[in-house]
Amino acid sequence: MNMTTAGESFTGRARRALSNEQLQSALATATTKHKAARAEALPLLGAEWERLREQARAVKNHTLENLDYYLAEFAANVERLGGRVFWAEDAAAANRYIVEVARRHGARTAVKSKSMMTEEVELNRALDAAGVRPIETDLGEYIVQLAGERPSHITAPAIHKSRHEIARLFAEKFETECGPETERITALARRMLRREFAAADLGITGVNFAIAESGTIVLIENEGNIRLSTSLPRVHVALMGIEKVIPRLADLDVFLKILPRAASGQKITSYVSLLTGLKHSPRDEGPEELHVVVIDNGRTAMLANPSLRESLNCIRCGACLNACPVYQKIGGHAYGWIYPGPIGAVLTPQLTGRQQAADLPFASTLCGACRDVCPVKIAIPEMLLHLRHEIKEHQQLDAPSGLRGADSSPGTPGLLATAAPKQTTPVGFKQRIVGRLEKLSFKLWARAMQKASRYVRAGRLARLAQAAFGRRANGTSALPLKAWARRRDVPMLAPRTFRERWAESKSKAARRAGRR
Amino acid sequence: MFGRIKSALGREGEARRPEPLAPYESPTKATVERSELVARFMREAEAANIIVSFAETDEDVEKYLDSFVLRQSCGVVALSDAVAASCEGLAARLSERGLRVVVPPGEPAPVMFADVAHAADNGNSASRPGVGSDVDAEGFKAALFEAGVGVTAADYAIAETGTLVLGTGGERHRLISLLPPVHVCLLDARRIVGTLAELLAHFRERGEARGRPPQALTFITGPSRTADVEQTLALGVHGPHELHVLLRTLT
Repeated sequence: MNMTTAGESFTGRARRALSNEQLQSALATATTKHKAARAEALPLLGAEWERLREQARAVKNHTLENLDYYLAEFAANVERLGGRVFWAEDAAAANRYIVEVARRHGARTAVKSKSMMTEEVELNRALDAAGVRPIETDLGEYIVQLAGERPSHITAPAIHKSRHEIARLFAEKFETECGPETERITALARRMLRREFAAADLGITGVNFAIAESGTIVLIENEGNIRLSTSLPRVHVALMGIEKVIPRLADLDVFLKILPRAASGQKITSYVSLLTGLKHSPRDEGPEELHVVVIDNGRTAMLANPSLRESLNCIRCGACLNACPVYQKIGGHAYGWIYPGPIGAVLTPQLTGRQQAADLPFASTLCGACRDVCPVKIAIPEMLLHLRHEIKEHQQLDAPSGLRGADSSPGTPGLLATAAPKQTTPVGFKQRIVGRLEKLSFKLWARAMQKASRYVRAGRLARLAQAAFGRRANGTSALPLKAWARRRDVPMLAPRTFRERWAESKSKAARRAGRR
Repeated sequence: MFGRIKSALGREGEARRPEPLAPYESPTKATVERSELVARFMREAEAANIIVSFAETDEDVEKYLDSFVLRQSCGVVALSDAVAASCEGLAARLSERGLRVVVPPGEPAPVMFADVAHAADNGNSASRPGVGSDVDAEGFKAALFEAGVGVTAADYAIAETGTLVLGTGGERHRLISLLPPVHVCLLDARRIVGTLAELLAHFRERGEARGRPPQALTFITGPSRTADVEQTLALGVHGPHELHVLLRTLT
């Protein structure tokens, strides 16, 4: 797969996105439509929406706290019903296993439905290398794959492309006419993909929810490509992160209510498939083999960090992307890896390494819109702050690379890992000085804020400094602040403080009272 | 991996069954009135682009299916196990008019969930011979790629979302409801439940009683759709672009 963002820094990618007019208008339309659909859907639930979110969060937290039990229960049920479970420590192990399954069946092609997990482990690359052609079958993913690009949104992968661009792409790739009408594009994709479905040996999907008590895999979609991928080929391979399990069938109720509403404002998607084990008799429909690949790939490290553990609760609805003022402007590709937007800024540093994605937690205004729309109430802004702290601490320590998180695991694939090795530790001299200065100023600030007398003295000092360095350049020609102020308005200090004016007005009032 | 999970959770030894979490209780009260359930189902189904028609008698069903399928002017029509078994003569009549009728190969499906609805009226459909299939599994698949209409029955429907629920066991529904561009689904009004929660509770009981739930349960709410091109809705991208429900009401 092409890495469109390789070799560029986050700011570079963001700047490029901002100057791409086509992308700007596509993003504006798409995120507005998403938000409108959602705004229409949620009030119908009234106060129940809050209760659903609370319950969803409670179920997810409960499951994480007992993850060892529920995963074991799920796996035992899958195996009891004829499926096979493979525990993959990292991306490489998952890919090796799946390639081996494909080889055993002499598979030449594999139809794939949309799955963030397959993106995360870069399964397509591994299949390609093994001579198995992976075919993305979700329309958005199909378009992105044909274009040799990467998805730019979790639930709307081709959000960055206009229908004219897509029609041109189809015409070129299929050497046929294709009008720019949505119906024509869709019909042509249907025709081309039907051939692939008919011939494929392997069907590869993700998993939305895995039910422990029954060993059931739940898959949610609107298009029907997941249903085709799981009922036509002889072999079904399902990939899931360890966090996808939920305890009971009854718990599905809440998640089937919140996921489609949060993602697209739908009450329910066109299709929901509950697949449990293998077919009961040869006369039944469906695959002859089922492989469930349960993947860690850095997740146990997330589980071990109490401040960040809840980021494993994400159900990949994409709501935080649409709500985020930063995502709305820079789009998905600027985030550099497969998880964009606010949740991407939390997941990517954890999964690829703090220093590899050091810019992401800072690319946020901390406005909290993501937390407000999150259907499982993940405290994204708090986690971004926590990550900022970890990253800054790390930079000051000037520690060797691979100190924390998954970046030390050899199997972690990652765009960022290959994209920006120069940014990694050891941290540069200049960065270290700036980091120390920053830390020093915050220390002084904290001391000043602790005592009223210190605060008053610090204020006086600052006003003196302001007068001395002049008001040119926003009053911040002073060296360390200059860089900081390039993108921020520095508030000017008033010539007289509120306290001084208050004291003055009080003494005036006292004088007036004295005269009477 | 379990070692890493346990150490991340700060635990040692065998995992014990956790105290189960209190189940979710919806503040919306359950509907028991049948007519209300039917009305709600219709409203929600139509909002999801499903076209709903009614039949009061077996004759109505026959008439509807005959004329509907013939109107589609397609060469191949596919009937599921329950439809082939319960709509006697349908296959023969359609064949007479020059259509190729395909049904799933091998033994007709044993009835699992259809025991109340379809079977109760006409005796157990599992014991009925149905229509003999002239294709093997591969031939069946190939024919479905050519079929213009697929007819199945639903095991259940959910009123709150207008959802059809099709389970394996009663029906080999998976490809017939998916490959042809038009899907017709027969639904007995008595099979409509109020909420998803009720349905899941029901399946859980049945699943436990039988040791294993149906291998595939498919929830269908409207035709196949996508909004991947400029966030504009398009129907029929992979599955049917039309979904018709024939609701068998009570007289």
